[in-house]
Amino acid sequence: MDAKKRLLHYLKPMKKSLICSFAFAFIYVCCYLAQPFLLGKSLDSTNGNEFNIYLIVSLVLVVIGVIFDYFFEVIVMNVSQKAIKNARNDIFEKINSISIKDFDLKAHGDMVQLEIRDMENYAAGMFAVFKTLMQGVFTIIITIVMMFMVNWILAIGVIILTPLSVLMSSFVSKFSHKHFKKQSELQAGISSISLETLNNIDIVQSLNYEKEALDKFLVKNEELKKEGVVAQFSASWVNPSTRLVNNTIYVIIGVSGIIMIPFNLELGLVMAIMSIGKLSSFLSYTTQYSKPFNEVSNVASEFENARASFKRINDFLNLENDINEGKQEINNIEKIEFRNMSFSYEKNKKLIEDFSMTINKGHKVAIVGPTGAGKTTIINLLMRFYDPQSGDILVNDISNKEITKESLRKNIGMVLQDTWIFSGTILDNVRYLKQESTEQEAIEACKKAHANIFIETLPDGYHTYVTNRSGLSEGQKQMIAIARVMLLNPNVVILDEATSNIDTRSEILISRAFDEIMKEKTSIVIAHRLSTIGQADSIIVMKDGKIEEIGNHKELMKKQGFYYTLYSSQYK
Amino acid sequence: MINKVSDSYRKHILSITLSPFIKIVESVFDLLIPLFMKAVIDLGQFEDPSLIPNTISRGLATFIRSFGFGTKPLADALTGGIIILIMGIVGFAITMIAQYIAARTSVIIGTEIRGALYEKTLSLSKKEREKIGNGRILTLINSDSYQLQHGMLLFIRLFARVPFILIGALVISYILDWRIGIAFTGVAICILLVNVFVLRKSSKGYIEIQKDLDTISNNTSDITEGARVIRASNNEQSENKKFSEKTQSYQNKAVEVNKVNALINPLTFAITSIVLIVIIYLLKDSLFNSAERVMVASTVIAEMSYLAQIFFVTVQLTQSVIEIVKASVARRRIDELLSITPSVANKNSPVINIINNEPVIRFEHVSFSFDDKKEKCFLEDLDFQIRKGETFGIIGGTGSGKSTIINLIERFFDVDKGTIFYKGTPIRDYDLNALRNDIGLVNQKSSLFKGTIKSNYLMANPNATDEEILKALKEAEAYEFVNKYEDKINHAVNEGGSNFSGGQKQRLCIGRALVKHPEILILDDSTSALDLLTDKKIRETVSSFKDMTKIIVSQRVATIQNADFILVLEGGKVVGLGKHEFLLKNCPIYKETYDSQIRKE
Repeated sequence: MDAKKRLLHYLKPMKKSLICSFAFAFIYVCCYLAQPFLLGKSLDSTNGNEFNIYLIVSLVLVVIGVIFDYFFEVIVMNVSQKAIKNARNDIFEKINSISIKDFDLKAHGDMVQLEIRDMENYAAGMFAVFKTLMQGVFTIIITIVMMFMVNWILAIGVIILTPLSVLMSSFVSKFSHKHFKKQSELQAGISSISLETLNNIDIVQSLNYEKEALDKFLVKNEELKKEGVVAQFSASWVNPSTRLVNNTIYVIIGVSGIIMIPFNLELGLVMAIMSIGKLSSFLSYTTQYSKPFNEVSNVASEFENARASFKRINDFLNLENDINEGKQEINNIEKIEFRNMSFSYEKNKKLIEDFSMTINKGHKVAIVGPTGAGKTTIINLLMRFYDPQSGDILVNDISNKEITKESLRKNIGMVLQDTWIFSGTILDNVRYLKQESTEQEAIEACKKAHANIFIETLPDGYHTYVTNRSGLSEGQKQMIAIARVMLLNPNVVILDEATSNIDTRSEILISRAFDEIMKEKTSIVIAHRLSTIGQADSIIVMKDGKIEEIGNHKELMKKQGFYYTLYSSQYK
Repeated sequence: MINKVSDSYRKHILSITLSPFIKIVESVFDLLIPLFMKAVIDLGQFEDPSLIPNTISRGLATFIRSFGFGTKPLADALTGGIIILIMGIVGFAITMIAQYIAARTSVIIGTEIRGALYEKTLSLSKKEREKIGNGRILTLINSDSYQLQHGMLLFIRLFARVPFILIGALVISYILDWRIGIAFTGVAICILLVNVFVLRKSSKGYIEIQKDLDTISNNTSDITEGARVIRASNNEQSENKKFSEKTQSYQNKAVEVNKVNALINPLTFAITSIVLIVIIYLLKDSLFNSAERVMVASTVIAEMSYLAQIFFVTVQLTQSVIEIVKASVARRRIDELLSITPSVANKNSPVINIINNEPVIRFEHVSFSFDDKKEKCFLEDLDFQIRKGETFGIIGGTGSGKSTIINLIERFFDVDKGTIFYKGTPIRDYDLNALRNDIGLVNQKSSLFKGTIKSNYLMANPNATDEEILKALKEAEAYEFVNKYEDKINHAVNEGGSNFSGGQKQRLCIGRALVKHPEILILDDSTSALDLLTDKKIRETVSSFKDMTKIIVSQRVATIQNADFILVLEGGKVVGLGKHEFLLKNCPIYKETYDSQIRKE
C-alpha cells in the first residue's frame, strides 16, 4: 500500500468527523470574518436602528463562531489522536507478526522510534495541517471576497504585498535550518560520549580519569554551545521579521486608506469609496489576511517531518506478515525428524547442508560444535522462526508446514542464551509462559532453577520490579528464564546455551533438576561447555553446518575424533 | 559548582532579566503604531493639531506636523507613515539584540547544566548511579537539558512582552477614553482567568500523557527484545491486547486534555470581539455627534489593533506554555540528580599512610546491602585479610557477591557495617585517588574506549612510554596480535572495542591495568574468554611480580587453585578460606565446584 492509500485508510472511518470539521471550519471562519465588516458598517451608520442591528448581528455571529470553532478544534484533535492510536496498534501488531527473518533485519531502536517519535510527528503534522489548511484556505478566500467588497484598490494592494512576509520567513528558516542540522550532529556527538562514559564508568573511576573525561566532554559541550547560540538566534529572526513586514503592510494600507477618504468624490471610482468605517474593516482584514500565510510557513516544517515519519510507518506496515499455512493441530510431540534439510541466511553462503536426524520422545539430545557451526540455526528452524530452503522437518511424521505454528510452539519450551526479561516483577516474569499458575508454583520453579537464592536477597524478593536492562546480571536473567520453562513443564525443552553465564556448580544442579522433570520427555541442549551433556542419549557434533559425528559421550571419546579434540581442549 | 538548576539561573540573572526589558522597547513601539495611525486620521479631521481634543493624539499630531512637510492631508499621512516605519525598524533592531541575549543565555544555561550533570555523574558512587539507572542519566544529559534550555528561551522571550502588551494596552485605553479603559480591564481579567484555568488543567494532564508515552516506549522496546520468546509462547495476541489498552488510555488522556486546551483560542477570540462590540456601543452617542465622529472612530480603529495584538500574544503564550511546563518537569528531574551528595568521597583531610606490618587489605566484619532499609544483607560479616605480594583468589557462584567485594575494595560502594582497612588505615579515611591509583582493575566487561590502543593505555598511565606499553602488552599476551597490525599500538579502537574479539579485549584490558604498574592487580573474571593455556601464561607472568598483590576472581577453579589463599563465597557469606588442598578436604561447595569442572575419566 502506498502512503497516500494508507493515510486514506486511517482517515476513512472518520469520514463523518472530517466532513463535520470541514463544515464547522467554514461556518466559524465566516462568522469571524464578518466581524470587521459589520463593525465597520456600524461605525459608518447614520441612525441608531441601523447601528443597533449591526452590533446585534455581530454579537450573535461571534457566539455562533466561537461554538463552531471550539468543536472544530476538538474534532480535529480527536481525529488525529484516533488515527495515531490505530497506527500505533498496527505497528505493534506488525512487530509481533512479521517473520523473525524480517525482524532480525531491523534495528530494535528503530521500531521504538516508530512508535514514539514518528507517531508524535505524524500526529502533530496531521493536527497542524488539518487545522491550518482548512482554516487558512477559508480565511484567505473569504478575506479576499470581503476586501473586494469594501474597497478593490486596497484589496489589490494587500494581495500584492502579503507574499513579502512569507518570503521573509521562508528565507530565515532556510538559513537557520543549516545551523540546526549542524547542532544536531554535535548533539549526537555529546550523546555518544556520555553513553561511552556511562557504560564504562567503573573503569573511568578506577583509573582516576574523571577529570580528563570531564574536560573532553566540556570541549564538545563548548562547541555545541557556540553552534547552539547561532542556531537559536537565527531561528529567532522569524517572528520579529514577519512582524516588521506585517507592520509595514499595515501602515502602507492604512496611510493609503486615510489618503483616500477626502478624495472620495474627486476620484469618483465605483466601489472604491472610502470611509472611516471601511478603513477600520480594511485594516482588520489586512491583519487577518497575512496570518494564514505565516502559519502555513510555520507548519511547513511540521508537515515535512510528518511526511517523512509517515513514510517510515507505512514502509514498516508494508512488510509481509509471517505465513502460517498449517492447519493441523498437535497435542504432543512424539518424534522430530530433520530430513535432508538445507538452509542459509544469505544466498551464496551455505550454512546447513543436507542435515538429517531423528529425535524420539524421551531422549536427551545434545548439539555441540564450534561457533558458527549452525547449532542455533537448527533451533530457529525447528521453532519455525525460519524455514529451510530444501528438505523437511517432520513432527510426529507430519511436515511442520502443515501444523499450525501455535500448536507446534505450544509443545516446546525454549531458553535462549540472550534471555529476555520484560519490565515487571520477578514473579510476572517467571509466570509469563503459564499465566494461570499460582505464586507457590512459580516459587517452586525458581527453586529448581536455583534462582531462589539471589531472588531472596533482592529488596522486594519475588515482587522486585525488574527490566531487561537493570538490576540483574546475565546469569541471574538466565536463571529466571530457566524457571519460566521449569514452570511450563512442556513436552520438549530446548536449551540453547541457556546456562552460559551461570557458574558451573549451579549449572550442574540446574541440569540435574531438568533431568528430573524431563524424564519421559524430550530435551535438546546446545552447550559450549561440555560438562553438562555427559548424560545425553546422543550427542550431535556439528562442524560447518554438517553433522560430523553422532554418538554418546563414551562412544565419541573412544573414537578420538572431533568431539575428543573439543573435549580435551576444554579439560586439560 | 552547580548543585541546582537555580544556581545557573542566578549566575545569569542579569541576562535573564535584561533581555525581556529590552523587548519592552519593541512592545512600546508596537503599542505606539495604532496611536500614530489615529493621530494621522484625526489630523485629516482637524487641520490644526491643537484643536484635537484627545491629549495623546494632539501630542502625536503636533509631532508629525513638527517635521514641516506641510499641512496637506497627504503630507500628514506620509510623514506619519514614515515615522511608524522607522519605529518599526528601530524596534526590530532592538528586539534582535534581545533575541540574541535570549538565545545566548538559554544555550549557555543548557550547556552549564549539561556539564554539571556530567560532572555529577562522574562523581557518583556505583550505588547511587544504579539507583537512578544509566538510562535515566543519559536522558537527563541528552534530552532534559535541551528541554530546559528551550523552556528558558521561550520564557525569556515572552516573560516581559506578554504582560507588558496587556498592561500597556490597558493604560492607553484609559487615557483615550475612560469608558474603553473599564471595558478593557474586563478583557484583561477574563483572559487571565481563562488562561490560568486552562493551563492549570492542561499542564497536569500533560504530565500524565508523558507517563503514558513512557509506558508505550518501554512496552515496545520490551517486545522487540523478547520477540522470539513471545512467538514461542504464542503470546502475540495477548501482548497486542495489552498494548492497545495503553494506546487507548493515551488517546483518552490526550483527548481529555485537548477538550480543555481547545477552549483557549475561541474564548480569547470571544472576549476580544465582544469587548469591541461593547466599546462601540458605549461610544454610540459620540458616534452620532458629527463633531466627535471621526475622533471616536479612529479610537475604535486603534482599539481594534490592540485587541488583535492581545489575541496574538495570548495564543503565542499558550503555545509556549506546554514547552515551559515540560521544561519545569525536566528541571525537577535534573535537580534530583544534581542535588545528590556522592556518598563515596574524600574526607576533608584524607590520609595517605602506610602502617608497617599491616596487611594491604583487611575486611573486619564487613556487611553490605543494596537496599536502603538494610534488611537484606548482600554480603554478610566478611572477615579476611590480604597481605602484600600475595595471590588471593575469590570463587563463588552466580550472584554470590564476588564482584561486590571488588567494588568495596575499589570503594565504588561503602560498607554498611564493619570496616575495611587499607594498609592499616580505615578505607574511608584513605585518599580516594591514591587508593585507586594503587589498584589496577580489570573488570568482567572489558571496557575499552574509542581511540587507539595507545590512547587507552595512556588513560591508565599518562607517562607511559611506547616501550612500557609494549612491555605491558607482552605481559598480557596481547603483543602477538597487536604486532600484526601495521599501525601497532596506534591501531584504532572502535566504540566498545567492537573491532576486537572477546579474548583480545580481555588481554588488552589486562595490559592496560599492568601499564599502570599497580601495587594491587585485580582480575575480576577477566580471563573467561581466554583458553586455559593463555590464561595460565598470564597468571605465571603476573605471579612473577613479587611485590604486586594479586586478587583474582573467577568461576574457574583452574584459574585460582594456585593462589596463596582462596575465599569461597556462597550467598554473600564466606564458606571457605584457605589453600586449594585444604578447601578440597574441608569445603564441600568448593569440592563440588571443582568436581563440576575437572572431570575424572
